Amino acid sequence: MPAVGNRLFRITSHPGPESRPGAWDLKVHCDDETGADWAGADEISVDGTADDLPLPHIYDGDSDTGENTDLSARLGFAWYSEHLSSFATMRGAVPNAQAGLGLPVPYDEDVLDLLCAKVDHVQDRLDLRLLLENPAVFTPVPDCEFTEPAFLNELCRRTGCGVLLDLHNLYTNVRTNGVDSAAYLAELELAYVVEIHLAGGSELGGFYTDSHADVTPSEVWRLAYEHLPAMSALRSVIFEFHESSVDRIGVSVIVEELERIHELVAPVAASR
Amino acid sequence: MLADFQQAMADLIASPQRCQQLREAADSTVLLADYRLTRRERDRLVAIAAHPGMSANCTVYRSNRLTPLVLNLPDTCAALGPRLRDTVDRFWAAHPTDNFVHFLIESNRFATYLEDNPPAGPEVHEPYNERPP
Repeated sequence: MPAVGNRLFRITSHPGPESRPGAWDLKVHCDDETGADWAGADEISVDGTADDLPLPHIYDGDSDTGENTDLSARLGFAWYSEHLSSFATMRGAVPNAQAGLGLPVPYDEDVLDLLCAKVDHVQDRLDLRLLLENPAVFTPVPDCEFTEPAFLNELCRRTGCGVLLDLHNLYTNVRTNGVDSAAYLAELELAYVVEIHLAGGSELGGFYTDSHADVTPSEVWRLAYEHLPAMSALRSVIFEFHESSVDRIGVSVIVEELERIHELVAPVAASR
Repeated sequence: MLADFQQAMADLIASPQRCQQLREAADSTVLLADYRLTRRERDRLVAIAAHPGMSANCTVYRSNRLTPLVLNLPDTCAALGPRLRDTVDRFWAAHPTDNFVHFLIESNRFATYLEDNPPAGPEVHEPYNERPP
C-alpha cells in the first residue's frame, strides 16, 4: 500500500471489459481515516498509468468537491462513486457529524427529488458521472414508496448517474432481511450498472455482515455469472477485502479471486 | 422532516438504551419530542428501533468508534480492562461523533478525556506514554 504523505491509498487492479479486453483498470481508494490532505497527490504512484487507463474514484461526500475536482483533473478519473446511504447528520450537537455507519435512506418521492438535485450538483461540479452503490442494511426503512431497485432506476433516469452494484451487499440483505435477489435483479435496470463489487463477509452477533473479511461466497459468484452479461455498460469488477483480513484470507487466495474475475469477464468482454 | 429523521435514527443507533426506551415507550412522541417528525417518520423510527437488526447497527456503531482507540491506544485499553466498557460509554456520551472522524484525533481526544476523568481503580498511565502526536 503506497503512502502519500500521511494518507494511504489502496490500489487494486481489475479487468476493464469495455475499455480494452484483457486490459486492466486501476482503482484508487483513499483511506480517509489516516488523514493528511490532497497536497501530496502529485506523488501518487499510479500517476502516469492514469494517462491511458480509466480510474474510478470513491467520492467522499464530506470532502470539498474542489479538492476532488483538482485530483480528478490530474488523474483522469472515469467516474465517482458513493453509497446510497447517509453518513452525516445535521441536527446533532455537532452539525454534519458522522453517523458512525451508513444510515438507510427512505426511498420516497421527496427524497428522490432531493437526491436528484444533489447528484446533479456533484456531477456538474466534478464534470464526472456519479455511481451510487446499493447499501448493506440491517434495518431497512419500512413502508417506502419505491423499492430499492426502482429508486436506483429513477435516480439514474433523471440524473444520468449510474449504479455501482455491490452483489455482496445484496447477498447480505438477502441473509439479513430476506430480500429476494432474483426479484431485485429483475427490477434493476442492469444497463445502468457500471461497476460491480464482490466480497465476503462474516458473522457478528448473529448477523451476517459485509465485513470484507472473506472470499466471495458461491451464491454471489452465481449472481455475477448469471447477470453480468446483461450489464451492457459494465466497466469494472472489484474484489473488496479489508487489509486486516489479508493474512487470514491469504495472498494466494486473493490472487485466485482476481483470476476468477478474469474468467468471469472474459466471455463478456470478448463479445463486445 | 428528513434531517430530523436521520438525526433521530443516528441517535438511536448510538444508544442501545435509547432504543430500549423507545421499544418500551407507551407514547413514542414523548421520547422523540426533540425532533420535528411527521407521523410516518415517527412510526418508521419506532419500527426500526424494534427491528432485530437494530442490535447489529448498535454493535457496528460501537465497533467503529472503538477501533481507533484499540488501534492507537492498545495498552491503555488493556490497562482499563473490564473498566473499558463503562469508560468509553461515558466518553462517547460526552463526545458525540464529530464531523471529521480522524483516528488519531479521536484517540487523542480519548487520552485527554482519561487525563481529565481518570477512571476509578488502578491508575492508567498509558495515555501519557502512547497518546498520538
